Amino acid sequence: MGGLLNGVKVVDLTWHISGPYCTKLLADCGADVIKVEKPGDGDTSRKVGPFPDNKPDSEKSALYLYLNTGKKSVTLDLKSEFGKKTVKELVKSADILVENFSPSVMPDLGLDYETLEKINPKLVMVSISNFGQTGPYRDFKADENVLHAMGGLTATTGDEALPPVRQGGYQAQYIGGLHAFTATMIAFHCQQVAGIGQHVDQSIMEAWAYHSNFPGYQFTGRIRGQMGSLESAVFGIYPTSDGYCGLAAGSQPDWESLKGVINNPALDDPRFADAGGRWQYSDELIALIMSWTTDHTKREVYDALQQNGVAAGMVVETCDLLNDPQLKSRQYLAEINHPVAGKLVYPTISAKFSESTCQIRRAPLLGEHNEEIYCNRLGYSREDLVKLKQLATI
Amino acid sequence: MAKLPLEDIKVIELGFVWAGPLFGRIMGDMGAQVIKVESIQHIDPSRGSIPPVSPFFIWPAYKNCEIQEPSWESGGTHHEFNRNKMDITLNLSRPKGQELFKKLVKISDVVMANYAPGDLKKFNIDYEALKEVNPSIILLSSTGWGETGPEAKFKAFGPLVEGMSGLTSLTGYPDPEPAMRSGIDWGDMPGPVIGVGLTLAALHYRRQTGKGQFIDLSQRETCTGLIGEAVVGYSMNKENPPRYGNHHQSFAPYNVYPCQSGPLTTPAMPPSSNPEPDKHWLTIAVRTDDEWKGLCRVLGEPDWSKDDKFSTAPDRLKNQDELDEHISKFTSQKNMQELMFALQGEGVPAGGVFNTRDLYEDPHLRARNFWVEVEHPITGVEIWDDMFVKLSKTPGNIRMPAPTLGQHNEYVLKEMLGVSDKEYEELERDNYIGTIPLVAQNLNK
Repeated sequence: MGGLLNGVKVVDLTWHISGPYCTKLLADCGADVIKVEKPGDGDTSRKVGPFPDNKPDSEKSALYLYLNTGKKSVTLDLKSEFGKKTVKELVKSADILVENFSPSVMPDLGLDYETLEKINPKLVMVSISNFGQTGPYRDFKADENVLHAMGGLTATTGDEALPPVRQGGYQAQYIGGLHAFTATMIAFHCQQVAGIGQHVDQSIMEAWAYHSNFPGYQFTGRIRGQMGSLESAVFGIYPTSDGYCGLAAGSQPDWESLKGVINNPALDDPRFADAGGRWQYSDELIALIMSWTTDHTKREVYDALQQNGVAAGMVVETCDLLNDPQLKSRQYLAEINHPVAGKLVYPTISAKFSESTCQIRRAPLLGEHNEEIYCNRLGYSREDLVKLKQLATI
Repeated sequence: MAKLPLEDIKVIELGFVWAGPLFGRIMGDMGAQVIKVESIQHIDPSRGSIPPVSPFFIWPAYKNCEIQEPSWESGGTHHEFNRNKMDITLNLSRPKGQELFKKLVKISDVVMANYAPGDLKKFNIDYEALKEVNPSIILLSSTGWGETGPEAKFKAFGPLVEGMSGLTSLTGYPDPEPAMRSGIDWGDMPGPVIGVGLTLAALHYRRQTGKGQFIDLSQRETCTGLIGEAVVGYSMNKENPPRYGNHHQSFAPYNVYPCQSGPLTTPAMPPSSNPEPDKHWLTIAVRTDDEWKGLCRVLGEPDWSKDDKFSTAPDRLKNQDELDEHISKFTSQKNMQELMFALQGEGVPAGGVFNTRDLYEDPHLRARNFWVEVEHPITGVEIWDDMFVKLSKTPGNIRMPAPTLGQHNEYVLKEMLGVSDKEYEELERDNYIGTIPLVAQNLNK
């Protein structure tokens, strides 16, 4: 049994979040990923926490540690002549190159697709950017909130009584990176089967717009506004004694089961008997259901509903994930050791494979693999490395 | 005609609603041969209920709020998700249907299902059964919670999966405001997207080793993977990350600001049962002193901006509520699009809070040919989003509109599987296959 992508060579010029999430997935599938970091500071995510005890440390950033599992790290100043030469050298024998700079950067470095294609015609070059390699927004600057909004998701999130709100974490950048992973695999398949290399232009905005639920607007003219959390009495999130739990009981059989679980004669009111009635008398129904949910913990509500065939889902806090019985049974979270950050718990890959193994390996220290790559693979001597380090080229 | 990147792959899709059909849609968009398997006993719910609840509902959405018969061929969600696929019907609850299905598996590369846990086994088409027929088949089963574990049989819906992933607890305004779910059925989307990538990786593994395999994909776990740093961070400090609303832990100003809506640049989609919203919002993100100076230039260098309480980044963070009030007074007089361009022109990250209509009218997406016209035999010309990514040499494209129910029964059964005319007639007569949902047939009796 081996990894899915053992032996696949990736040159990883990505930084921060969207690019590294793409190459992390490649690494977790077993690919050989060489991550190029800036000498001195390394990837910007090394400066973003969480950190243990909230003390910044470039080898202990949770964001860096999570996003860079399984990769090798070399330091390299891409602006230097040696830097550009090295990328070209690595590209010669690489299958895939991934970058997520602003669209003008790679051409300015003389590392545009046309140049790299001449060196390796079969290369799959993946460029992830906020808005794509072309178009009026091409050179727009963006942070997470800007991307999230321009992708269409902020407009539908949150309570209508408050301004629209973005999701937690870095969803715009993560989703961009996720689509880039799949796009990489699509182009890689074509390379392997048909011998064709190409340039992959993954726009984070377009990754989002692909899921914009367009039929509603196109066919009915209705613009979906902020959803809130309770779409209807039988579909949404309810408060519990210790947090929140969502439920979905749209069908008539679901309703019968829900009534059975709550066991309150007020629910037998004929006004609630059909879907139309449950919609019309929504406010009353919500109050009745809420009086039950607020009397129980979210785990009690979740278990009671699910065990009686009604779809439910707790709004779990991060802490709940580490003791979750389902995740534990599937060994989805794993403890991984790191020479500086120590033993920490990481999500692993979200699928189980019957034949291949998907082992998550730790993130690298800054420049940890300089000797392995520069000396063993590219033939430089240790003295060369010392000189390059003095010049801050690596 | 340009080559399609996945044109050598043969996929069978057992998909309902979002997760399964999205997987099939991505594969089909990129050139794979995708055969969607429904049944006249159970059609994909994206086709709407029979009879439809209302022509005005936003799901599955009917063109111009008019139901064109047959209603199960006109649903917008069905059209969006099921383009580029062939469609057959097969009653998989009976042995003969299962046998035909297995015959199809024998000449296929990938089977993808988002059935309820246990259903594949119930129909004798789980991995053990399929492996016997085709040892190199790759079966990807996408379920809410995974196929193993104490909660494997629990039911899943998108927002519930999102809640269980941990993301919902991080979304929304800080306590005491409640956590907010995503505005879309978030839990359904990342699974199929990563599923395509993992399936292609498994195909690579098969090319190297000759081995197919079973992929047990959990939608919930896929979503937790999108907040991985929160898990690692908790493991460090035993602290749940707080909710930030629209703010940032270190940067200010960093928020949404009210603006005026612009004039319509394209005719409103008929019939507009919603007026165009009278309010729009603009996100602004200032991370550096240079970006702060750019913002001040656009604001017209107002006196308040020169106050000491806004002079450094830490000051701005400390006083961000007051800062936001000042900025909002300015933005609420301005048009969102114009202000976005003005700020970007001065190097300030800024972007409109786009709704579906904004995306449809967006000049950037249009310049990149993101919206394309597709002709459907029953509803005529429709406009759909094109590909999620641009490949320079082998771009995907929309070659076929969403299929009608069982549209390819004859082609697949007779041409591909060698079923005789006589056998085919018997299958139709005995309701193994067909082109009209049983529910509709019974209504007309």
